[in-house]
Amino acid sequence: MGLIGSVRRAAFTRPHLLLLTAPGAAEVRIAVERFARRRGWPLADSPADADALVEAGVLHGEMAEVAETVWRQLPAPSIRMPLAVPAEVEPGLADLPARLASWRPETGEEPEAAPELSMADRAEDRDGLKLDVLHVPLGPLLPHWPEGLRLVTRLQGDVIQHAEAEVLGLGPDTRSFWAVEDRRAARRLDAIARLLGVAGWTAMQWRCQALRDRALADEPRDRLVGDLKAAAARIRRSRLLRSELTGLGAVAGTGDAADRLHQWLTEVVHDLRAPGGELAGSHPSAAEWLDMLPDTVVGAELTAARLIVASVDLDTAEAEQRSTTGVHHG
Amino acid sequence: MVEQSPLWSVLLLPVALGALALFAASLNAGFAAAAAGRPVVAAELAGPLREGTRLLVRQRRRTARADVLLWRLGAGGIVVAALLASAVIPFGGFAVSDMPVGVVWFNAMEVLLWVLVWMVGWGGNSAYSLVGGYRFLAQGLAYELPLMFALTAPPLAAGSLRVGEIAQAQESLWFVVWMPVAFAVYLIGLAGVTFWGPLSSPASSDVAGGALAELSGIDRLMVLAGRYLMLAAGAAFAVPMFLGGGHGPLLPPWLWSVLKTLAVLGLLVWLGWRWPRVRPERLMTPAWLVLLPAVLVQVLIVGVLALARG
Repeated sequence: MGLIGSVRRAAFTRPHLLLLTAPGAAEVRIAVERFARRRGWPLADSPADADALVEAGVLHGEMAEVAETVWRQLPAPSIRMPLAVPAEVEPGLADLPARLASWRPETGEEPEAAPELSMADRAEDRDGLKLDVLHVPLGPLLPHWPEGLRLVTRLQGDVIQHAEAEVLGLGPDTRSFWAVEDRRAARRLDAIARLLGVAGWTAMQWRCQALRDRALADEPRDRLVGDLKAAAARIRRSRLLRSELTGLGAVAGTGDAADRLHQWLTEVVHDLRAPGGELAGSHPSAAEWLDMLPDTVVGAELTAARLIVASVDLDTAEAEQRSTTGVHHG
Repeated sequence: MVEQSPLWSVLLLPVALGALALFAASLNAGFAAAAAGRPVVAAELAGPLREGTRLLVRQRRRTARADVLLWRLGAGGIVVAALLASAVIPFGGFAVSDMPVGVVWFNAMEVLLWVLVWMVGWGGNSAYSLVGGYRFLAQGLAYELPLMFALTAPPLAAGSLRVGEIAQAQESLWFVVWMPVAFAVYLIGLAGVTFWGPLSSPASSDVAGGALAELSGIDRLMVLAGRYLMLAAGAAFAVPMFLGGGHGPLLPPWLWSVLKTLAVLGLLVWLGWRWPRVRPERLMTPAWLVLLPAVLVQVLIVGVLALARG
């Protein structure tokens, strides 16, 4: 027992966390991300790799159903950990390794049979050939994905033929964490980190997350601005990143994904120097983005669609409950 | 001349390749710690061992209506392919099998990953893992042809497909000096085979882990270990092909082989952290319009020089 016990303790010193965040619960998510980054706990990409399902914020309605479904997909041993407020993050997560090491299966609980999957349909693709069609919901559980957003897509190969956007889990008490004006720089840094995460530039993603956390912690601005400028310059210098983003999700007024990233970088530096003030350029609201998103991602390959969604800085907590549709024409 | 090692060296090969793979994984964990702003201490470098233990004690989960046979053959097969590929690599004067068609053998084992990674993606019966499997094939279409031509340059210069003889031919001058394009294309191809760094989209987080999305427990461990083993085998193969094999001053040849392999591994891991990912659908154009012509010109130059030298 002693040997098995110590093996299990060693195995779970750094559990993998699967984050499911309610709209408006960005503060809890950020606290979990900071904890994980500092301790070297990986954030899992999918339920199969997760030791714990971390529910950030209070999950309402369909988000609670999603959490229930996801929870059943975690391999044993696993812990379900609701964290409603930021203060619960440190103590809750710190207990996790010990709880996993001493985990015992609950008796008497039969695993439910998974629902039967539907077979793929067939339809004509872009070139008029018959090709399988899959109905794939993107989100709300995906890495680097806006909280509570679900994009119900029809995929042929990995090209999106049809999309509907909706925001799940909006409750009567849902408030945007970002509505406060002096958090604007941190919000942009959060969006930049998310976009870099989707683009696969992990090192720079973490660097921007650390800058975001410092901006939220009200650290003296002088040093922060210096570090930020260095990071912004490095991001701007990456020709590969620029070419990956150019031409994606072009929307009148904001340009394409590359333009939006550069706009954010300019705004962050500006905001930290002189907080507040009017923003230059056009900044569509959450409702407007939800309207535009389906049409923007239709016809895009899955990778491109993910980059487009990450490039719009959609604050789902500001959305009203409804869904929007986009269809591929031609 | 490279000697055929005694039969027991077959048992040594997995240990040696495993140690190289562990080195690469530890180095990667070190880079991750540094990127996240944590001090790079022993506990960080031990990450892969901890992770391996974790995957061994976790449940091996199955998805609904998974194609279990293909799934598990794919996961285990990657480890086997990497070990088979490394059989022809000489470490100093010894190779497990210095067969006359060693280069072709390595290429064949590396191409096995096309079907193996696809099987891992298909077997899980989920949209994301299927997308991951197909991304691997799409990338393969882009990098494989330039990679194959890059692999023909050293045999052309050495006049042999025997890996030992290719290393021998570099006693005075390393091939990387006059075939830098072939070497660069080889490294790009190796990143593609091991879905590494900018070419990691088959297993990337934007599709929830892609081909890895549904893997848990030992199955996940097999794929992750196989990937590092393949990376190690590819780095070790670059040494006799381009970097002079065991040739070098003072130190014994086997040590030179190991040191050069570690250097190539270090380079690959470091480069993996430097760049964003390339979108898989954008790889084809530069691969066929830039890499392929460039490597063909390289092979032409090597051919002319080899003829001129008689």
